[in-house]
Amino acid sequence: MSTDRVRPVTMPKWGIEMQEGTVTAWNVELGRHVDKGDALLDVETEKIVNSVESPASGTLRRMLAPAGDTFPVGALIAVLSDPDVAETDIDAFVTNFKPFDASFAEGSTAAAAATAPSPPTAPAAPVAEAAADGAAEGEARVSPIARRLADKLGIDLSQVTGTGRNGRISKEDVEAYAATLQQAGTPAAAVVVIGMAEPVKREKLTSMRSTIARRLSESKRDLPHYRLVADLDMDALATQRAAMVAAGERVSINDLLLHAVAVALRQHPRLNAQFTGDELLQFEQVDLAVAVATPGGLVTPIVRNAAGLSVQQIATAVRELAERARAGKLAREEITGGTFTVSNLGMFGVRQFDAIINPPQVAILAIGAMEERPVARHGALAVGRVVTVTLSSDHRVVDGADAAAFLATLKATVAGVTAG
Amino acid sequence: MSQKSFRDALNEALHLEMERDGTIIVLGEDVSGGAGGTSGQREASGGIFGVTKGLLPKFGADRVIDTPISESAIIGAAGGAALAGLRPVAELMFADFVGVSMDQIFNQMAKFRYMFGGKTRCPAVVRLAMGAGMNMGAQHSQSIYALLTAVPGLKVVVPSNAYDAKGLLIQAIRDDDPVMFFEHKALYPRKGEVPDGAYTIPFGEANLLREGEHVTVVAIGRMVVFAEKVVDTLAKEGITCDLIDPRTTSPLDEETILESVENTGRLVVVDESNPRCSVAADICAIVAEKGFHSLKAAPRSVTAPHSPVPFARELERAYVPGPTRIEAAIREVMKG
Amino acid sequence: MTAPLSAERLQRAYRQMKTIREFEERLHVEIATGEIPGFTHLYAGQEAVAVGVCEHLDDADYIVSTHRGHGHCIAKGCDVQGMMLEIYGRADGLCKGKGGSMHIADVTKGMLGANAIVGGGPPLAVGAAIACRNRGNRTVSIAFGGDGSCNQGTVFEAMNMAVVLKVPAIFVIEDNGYSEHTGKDYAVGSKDIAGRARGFGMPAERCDGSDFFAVYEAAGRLIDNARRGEGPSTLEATITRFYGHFEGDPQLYRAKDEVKRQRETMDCLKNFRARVTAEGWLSAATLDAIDGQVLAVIDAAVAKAKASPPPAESELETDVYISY
Repeated sequence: MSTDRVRPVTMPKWGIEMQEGTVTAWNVELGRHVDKGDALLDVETEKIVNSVESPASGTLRRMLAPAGDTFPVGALIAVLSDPDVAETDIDAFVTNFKPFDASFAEGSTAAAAATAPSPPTAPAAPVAEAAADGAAEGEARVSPIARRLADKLGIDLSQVTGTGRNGRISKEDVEAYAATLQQAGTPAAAVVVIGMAEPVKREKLTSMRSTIARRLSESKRDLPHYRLVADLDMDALATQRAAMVAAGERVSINDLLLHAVAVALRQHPRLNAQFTGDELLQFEQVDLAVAVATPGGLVTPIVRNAAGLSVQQIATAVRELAERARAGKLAREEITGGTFTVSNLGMFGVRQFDAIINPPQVAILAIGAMEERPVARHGALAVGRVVTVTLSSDHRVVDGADAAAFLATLKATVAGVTAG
Repeated sequence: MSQKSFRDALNEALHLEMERDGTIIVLGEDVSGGAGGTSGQREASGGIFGVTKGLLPKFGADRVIDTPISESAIIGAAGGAALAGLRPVAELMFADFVGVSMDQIFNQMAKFRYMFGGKTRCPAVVRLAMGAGMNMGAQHSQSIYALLTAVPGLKVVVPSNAYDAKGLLIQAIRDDDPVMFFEHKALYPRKGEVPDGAYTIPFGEANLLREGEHVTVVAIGRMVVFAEKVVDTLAKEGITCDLIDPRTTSPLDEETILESVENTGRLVVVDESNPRCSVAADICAIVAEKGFHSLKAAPRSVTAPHSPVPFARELERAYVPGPTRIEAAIREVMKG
Repeated sequence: MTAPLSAERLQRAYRQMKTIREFEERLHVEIATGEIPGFTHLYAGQEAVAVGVCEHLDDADYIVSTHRGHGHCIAKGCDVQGMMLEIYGRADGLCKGKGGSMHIADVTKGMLGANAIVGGGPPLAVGAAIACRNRGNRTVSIAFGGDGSCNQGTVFEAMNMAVVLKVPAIFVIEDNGYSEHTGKDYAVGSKDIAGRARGFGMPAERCDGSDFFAVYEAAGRLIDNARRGEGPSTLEATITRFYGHFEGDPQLYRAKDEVKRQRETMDCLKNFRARVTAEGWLSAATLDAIDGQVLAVIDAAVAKAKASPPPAESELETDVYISY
């Protein structure tokens, strides 16, 4: 019953499923007067043929749907108007008409992509209705696991803010509170050694660090580590390095050591291996993982086929990998699948240290600083350049004898190295 | 505080609440019993399991309503009465009868608040007696809380002991949303320490019954009783478990379960229901999705088989998950 | 003859029926544009039943409706604008756009909802009637249903329960001759709906649903009895619906000119006008004026509904529970 002077007739929606209709026949002529409810035209859909009733009275000014053609629901198929409306106004109406999109296509309405399986936690609805309050009269509401942790850490739960279900204190909340206690200098029962006087930065572990932390814990806990320590006579290697540097090569002592390790591993495949828990997989190729410190944490990019590379090639590879490691641009393949790891803290002046094995590898070599030390040679005291290395091995698959033999080979390789 | 049975704890809850609030009514088949009987005696049952004993003499026939056998009308009346401002506690004598009243539960009372734009409340409680182990046959022994856990708008409660039963029923009655309250028949006689006064236990907060390092065991309803035995036995061997009783499957205390699995890395869920689309399957999926990186072993569920409940004693014994299967599951996840 | 209602009440009854008629007629046109989502079931033709019953009720009484609920809603005093917004699925609809035509409700007006499940309403009405009985405040609960619902088990259960518990529930069955696409004479085995209700132990009457005064008188008696504590009863009203079961229904099951004939002979508005003017209770001019006012209200309601925003996506998961 619109009082608009120009009135549209659109393809009707008959029933929930109809998306389009085909015009079969018109029952009125252009220019004639039509009454509301008159059968204007016949339309066929997938299911039925029916007449479109005129939604209003007026003069039929346009017929825009030839018989035989198909139109979507909502499309303009005819125009009615008061008799005195100008043609140009009718034209304008047709041009400006926006058909309504009645389809079920996604995006046509708020097609909510709500896939979240979790139930809504405390939505906009007013909280604190009878339901949740009743329980812990005055006592802090705590998840049982959080309570256990709090007991263990000696934490007063009344001081903790809850961010869990309906304001309940969760394990995360207790951990967060424990962290603030350390910063405030209050003696917290467990966790972390040094209490600082002034507040330090609060760092939540990134996913990368969390993963590193977890894997190292597992390794230390589950693998039976044992250590063999040896001192390497570095005179020959140092001389070689000096010669190479003089010849314009960019190599470090570490690069030379890496080369020596690779060569030695070729002769001791039991250490160039991965252990799955059931099987020991020994490899021909030496893929040497080299520990690199980055701002985000320790990473171990891999120098593939290290035993087949020259020292210079190793040096180049290590330099390039370290750069990309520090920029956070290593690909996944570059940090997985190593057969042995070498870690060097010599540049910090560390004389000796024990490293933690990276499973599924079975051993790791920790290299200390090269120092001048008093050495005994053929019964006489001399000054030699020495590096202390520590080999940590997984006693499930690497026997002491194997590990020792490897170290012996390494020692010999390093001592008797010749240029090349 | 004294030792009371699960059944008596529920009965106490009803008495206390009906005294406190005159809009609470109880309706169901034989909730008092004896109406129209030739002995002229009312209170012939006090409910077929005795849970509604003593209510009719105290509160009268307007508030304690024996109904004909018409589950749709009973549950529908509960929904309508709730919309009209009463607080009905309806009883489905056996949870299996959810079938003949399902529309009124999942199309009507579950959806009123949402469909009516948040402008109504339906504070109805439906109590259902469930569970196998008493030779009652396939149509009187099911544990089908999973069907209703899946329906948005309903809350689903499955207590495992007398103390929880009383606190959770009082909570359910005071809750303004529709609550489906499942009572395992085999638990009715089991006693526990139950305070005399009224108290509530919030929904969505699990109970941590045992603490341990190695495995998270989640058990529902009567399964808690078996799981406790197993967990205590294994503790002597040095295998210690967190034993979690969720108490409500909707809302579910996911947080406690996930926090526990973060510590232990292993999950066993014990559920008397059939396996497909069970709450056990749901919990395993939630942990797999949200706690994947904590897991050291695949989660394991211990459920009834995919079959109706059998009648013969021996078969029914094999149907219900018992301590042997629970122990086997725990040992299996320990293997990694 | 003296008017059974005051002039003011007569005008009110006419206004209510006219509002329902124009509301439905307008929706018929608007639905064809495709702008209104989902299913709609129009009540045009049955107005005298909703109004004839609800004119005896106030906000403290309850009604439960069916999928064909717009008429009951308006007759019970629900806001017309709010209803139109709801049918268009707008944020300011009576149910915030979350219910739609088949789930319109306003509990503050005692309207416990249109119901998309045939037979879903009567058990709810019995529950509301228990509340009425217990309160002892002479309120009643009405369950509207169609001839189609009469074959649903839930309706039988509700009727029996109402008798057993002696609650003030009145079952109003609108026999419009069709349950979806099937005729009542086929589907109702005994062909006698009132007889069935009597079989459950309650009084049951029939009336001509196209005669407002017949409905008003019969309903008045049964509601009064219920208010006095005499228990439940059933009123069967014979009527017709001018449109299909749902909008878009081609009604192939109906004889070609059946609706045309019924609009002549069974139009309750025409009948009302003829009666009140013949009896001299109201003038044609008064009625015409009401017609004009009603049209303006409906026009405005549609215009506003078209211009109103839909619910925000943030409303998707609200109101599932009060608290969770």
